Amino acid sequence: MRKAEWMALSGALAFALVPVSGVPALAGKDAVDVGPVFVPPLAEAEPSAVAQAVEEINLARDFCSRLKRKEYVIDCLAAEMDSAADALPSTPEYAPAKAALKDGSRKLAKIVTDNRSSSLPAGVARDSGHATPRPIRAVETSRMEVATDAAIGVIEETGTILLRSSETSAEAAGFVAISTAVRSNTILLRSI
Amino acid sequence: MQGIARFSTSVVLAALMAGSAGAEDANYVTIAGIRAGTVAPGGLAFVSVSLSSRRDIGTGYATSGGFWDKRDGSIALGMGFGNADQGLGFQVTANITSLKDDFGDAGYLTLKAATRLQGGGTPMYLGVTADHIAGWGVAESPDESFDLTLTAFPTAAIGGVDRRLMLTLGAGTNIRNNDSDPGVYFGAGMAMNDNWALSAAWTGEDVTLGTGFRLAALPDMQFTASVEDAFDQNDARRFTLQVTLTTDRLFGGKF
Repeated sequence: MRKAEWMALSGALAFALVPVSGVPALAGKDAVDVGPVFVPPLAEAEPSAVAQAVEEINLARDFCSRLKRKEYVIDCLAAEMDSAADALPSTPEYAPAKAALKDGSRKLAKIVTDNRSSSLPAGVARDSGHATPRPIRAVETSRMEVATDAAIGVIEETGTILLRSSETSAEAAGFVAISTAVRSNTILLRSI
Repeated sequence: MQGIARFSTSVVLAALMAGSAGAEDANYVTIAGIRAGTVAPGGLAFVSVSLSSRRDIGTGYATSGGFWDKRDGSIALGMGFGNADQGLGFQVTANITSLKDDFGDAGYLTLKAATRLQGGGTPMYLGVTADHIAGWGVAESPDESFDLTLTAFPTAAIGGVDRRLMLTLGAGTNIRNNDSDPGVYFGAGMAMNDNWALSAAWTGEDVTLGTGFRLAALPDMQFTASVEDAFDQNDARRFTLQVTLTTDRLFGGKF
């Protein structure tokens, strides 16, 4: 026990034990009517929905960048963006972000459909315990430049929509964070 | 004594304003004067010294002497077992009912069990208390009493600050009429900052206003000051100070 704690406690005891006259000892209401109250510590803050979405988008970018065949990257991003949208709560405040991510995912998937490889098979990609939420498809190797340019356009458009939504949303900071995470995928797309 | 109630009100108002300045959240909370639905965490031992300005309440006669001449103290020694967050938590408390005459010549035990009903942002606990068990000395006479207590800890934005609150509702077999009849009690506590809280409670037949605080330099100690029967509804107004020291290092932290 610390010295200061001993001093505080012993001081309190000394005060109470000073002899008092005219008081019937051990009668009446106890000084300790109820004991001390114990309050549980605050629960550790759970990651917010926005933080989870941002983390998921960033993890998806890193995961997709590790694919050995870069022809799968665009559909990988499409699948992961759809998954990130699903992770957002289905509440009105998140509806614009959810819609923007879903729309971006659909547009990326359409780019893949329009430029799909006739030789590379679709399949679920797995790495370090993570797997794409659905089988991903490859872009025809000769169409990669066109598909990548289109995908960069979709990513930038999605980021812009999220930024615009932030201007009218109570979740403005969250939308900006999601927009930044989404737009970081353009770096990946420009590198393939 | 009405001045005391006015003083208490002014303290509350001043505290609200002081607590609102600058802080983003306030997390230290307690309620004075009524039981809580929580128990000491398993492995935590405590000693709580209470000093009261009047000990003659309930004796049927008023004693002479000045304000502090009627004072007395009590001590509660206890420890927690189990884990209310993961099942059941238990608390055993030995109460020494007076610090006068031969120390420890009267007292009783309090046994309490609690469980968490829900977690998350608003944890809620249900506690069952058996009080005045195995009394000795003159404290042998009160019959055993039993309480059922529900306590929740929500957080609310008040005065621009996210404040942790403590809300308690309880019922017991010995609450009213000098602890002889069943009754219901309830109370609310509000964090003013991370080290200071205010509370108000209906004990079953009167109101207790209280404040609790802790010091950053003494993290194992808590201090509570309360005015019982604050509005003198039962001619039982008294002041109580409580100092509680806790430790999880008893027996080397291995019990």
